[in-house]
Amino acid sequence: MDIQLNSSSIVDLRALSGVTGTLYVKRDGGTQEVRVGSAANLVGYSTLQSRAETSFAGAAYALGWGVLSVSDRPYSDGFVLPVPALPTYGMRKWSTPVGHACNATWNNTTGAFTLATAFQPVYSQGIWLRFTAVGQSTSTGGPAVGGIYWCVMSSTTVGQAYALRSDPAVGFCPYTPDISGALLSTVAGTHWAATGTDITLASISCPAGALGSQGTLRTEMYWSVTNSATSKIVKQNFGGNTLFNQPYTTVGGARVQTLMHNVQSKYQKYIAGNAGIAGVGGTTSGYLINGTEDTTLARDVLFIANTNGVDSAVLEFAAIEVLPA
Amino acid sequence: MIAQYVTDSAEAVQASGTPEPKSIWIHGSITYVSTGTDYVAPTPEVLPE
Repeated sequence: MDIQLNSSSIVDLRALSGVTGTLYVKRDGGTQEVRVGSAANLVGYSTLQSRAETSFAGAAYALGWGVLSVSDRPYSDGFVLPVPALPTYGMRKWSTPVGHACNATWNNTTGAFTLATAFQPVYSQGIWLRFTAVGQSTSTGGPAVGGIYWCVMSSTTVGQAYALRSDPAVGFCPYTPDISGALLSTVAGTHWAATGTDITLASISCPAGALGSQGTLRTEMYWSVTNSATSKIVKQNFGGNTLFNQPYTTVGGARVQTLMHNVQSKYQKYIAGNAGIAGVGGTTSGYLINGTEDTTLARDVLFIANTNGVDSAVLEFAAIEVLPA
Repeated sequence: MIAQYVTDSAEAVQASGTPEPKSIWIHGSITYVSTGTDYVAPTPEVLPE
């Protein structure tokens, strides 16, 4: 069983009643307090800094409540992994889109922009978009700091950026904020999309040892790209290895599933969606073991886009499952 | 060589603008610029079978 924690939430841990083992709590970014047990019977307390991990041993939490309070929330949410591991449990999943914005124009000093190339839908419920800072290359406009900003689109090209910014370098699981908050301060002018550059759009930490010695990491994702002759590359990395790396041209989107299998305690072979083994029962021209990574340590799962400035790439949703063994 | 810079810093901009073949990876507030033997050329498109 896993429990998805939203920012600033109280989680009923009574669902774990009868589960013995250790309750693990991990934070991908920012700072949080974790309390396990009722107010009258606090059995565990910890303050987690960015990328920290803690555990509460034993079954004392079985009838308690976990109280999660987040002092800052620009990054991702936390999650709870109880062990011993059950046969299958989810790690992270989201359906808030995040994308690499194409070239655009900043229309004013308060974050209104117009994209040079239209998105396929109107992201009226919001989307995270990566913009470069003013002064970068040919950018004469934009925010003072480049980054992934929360935006709400009013058409396929016109949108409003907000000051809410996320940093994948410290972990970022896309989410829909409760409120959009303050408008982004910008300099009016042109926006240059970082052409030919790998841009990390989301970063999820796979907990240390979560896969076990024979486990599998399975990812489902859906990318939307501009349907054009120019190349849009999307990637998925695990630690220092690339699981998936695929350029797209005249397609509107792609559903991708990747699998990565541990074959020893510290090494994986992985089966990605490219290299001629995209379909069920496909073949490959070479040996399948393509990477090594020590999964006894926490490793980042990264979602990356590399576009050409004219076009965009959007990660619409993803689900990352851990199947431990 | 893989060099690491603060994203959007003057050093990152300068390293990104050099004419030599290079791979640039903007990982949030950190930018990596790979040159020489660490440069990885773009992958050609592989159509589904």
